[in-house]
Amino acid sequence: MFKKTKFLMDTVVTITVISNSEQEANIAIDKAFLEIEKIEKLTNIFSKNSEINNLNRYAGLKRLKVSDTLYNIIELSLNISQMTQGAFDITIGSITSLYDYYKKIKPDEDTIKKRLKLVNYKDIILDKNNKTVFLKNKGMTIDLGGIAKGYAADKAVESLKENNIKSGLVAIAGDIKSFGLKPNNKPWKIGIRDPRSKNKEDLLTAIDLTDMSISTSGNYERFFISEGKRYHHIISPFTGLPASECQSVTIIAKDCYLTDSLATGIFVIGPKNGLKLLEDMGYEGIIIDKDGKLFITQGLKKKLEL
Amino acid sequence: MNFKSIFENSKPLDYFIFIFLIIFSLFGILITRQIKTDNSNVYIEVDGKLIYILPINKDKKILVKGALGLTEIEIKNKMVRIVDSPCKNKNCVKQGWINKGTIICLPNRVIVRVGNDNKHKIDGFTG
Repeated sequence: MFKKTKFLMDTVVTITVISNSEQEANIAIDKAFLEIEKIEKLTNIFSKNSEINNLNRYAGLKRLKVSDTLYNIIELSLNISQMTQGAFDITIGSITSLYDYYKKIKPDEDTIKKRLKLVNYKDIILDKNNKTVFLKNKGMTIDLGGIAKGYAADKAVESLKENNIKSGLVAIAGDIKSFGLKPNNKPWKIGIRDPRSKNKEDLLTAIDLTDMSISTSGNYERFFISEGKRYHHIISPFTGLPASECQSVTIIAKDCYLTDSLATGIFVIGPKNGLKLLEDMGYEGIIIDKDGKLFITQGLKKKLEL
Repeated sequence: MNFKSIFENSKPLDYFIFIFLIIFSLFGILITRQIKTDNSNVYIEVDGKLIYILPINKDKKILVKGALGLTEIEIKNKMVRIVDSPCKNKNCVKQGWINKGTIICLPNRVIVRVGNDNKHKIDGFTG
């Protein structure tokens, strides 16, 4: 078992692979890291030269031809937006950019009200044949923070497989994709943290995964407290304010882009309707609401020991 | 035979053996406790590379060079903390002392983890 850690996408990325050859493992891991770096470069909203910011600059002006990768990510994002009826929406960028969690800055109501007009995934116009994207209104801003990590984990696993790795684990912070089995023929074991515990190491449960992905969105990752209210990084596209119904949402599905974005979307939707949506779509998940109550999909209930 | 008669019939050597047994068993508890906690190591990684494995039961101060500059780490009384860091947000310093778990300083690319690698049953964490 070979393992390497790198700091990418503003977080800690760990790649673990099973291989008989250390050299083969190292080459495969380095190539997978390169894949993640490529996606980071395209999607990094904090870098002026990223492709996504270039696209944002053309909002309301003209349609722009984009790379296949960026086109693909935006297309997948819109699918999730439709699935969640707008609870996951990458056009939230004009509002997320108003919050600063280090400096404890939040926007005032009027600004939020104005900017909310710029939040609507239906105003992203795609042209599949020409691979162009048009953002209808000036000031519209795409923020791929809710899907890019999961997408990158998918691509990193693809790259590992192309390089002859039969089994491994890619973890971009809490967005994790597994494939194959460990040397003892057992699945990968992923610990789900308990958001209700102050100790970061306390687990809610651990779950066995193989050829599946898992992601968690929590209100305790990036936040500040102001006037007794918690301002965290999962902003509702409907209100422009931090979504307040949940503490954490964990989703399990095949693709990591989906678990990543759906965890955000369900967090916004809230526990009851969120659970129903998961059951209807056939995905598994655990939702912890603001009072600490657990909502678990039927399929997962059978597997878990809580 | 009741308690009173036990004490009345005891000789000094009996008392000695009795006290010895108590001390001996307490000692045993202490030793096993030591072994249990002292198994932990402090793992310090900079930019993805493991650069220190230190026992948590030996007090020590270390400076490591990260992406922005020097991070000062202190091990004391079986706890570890980041004393000072060149990062802006100082989240790592604010986290304070830990005896299990992880302190991550993203800006300076420093990870301080307390644990025992042999016991690692979990392959990844989400949440």
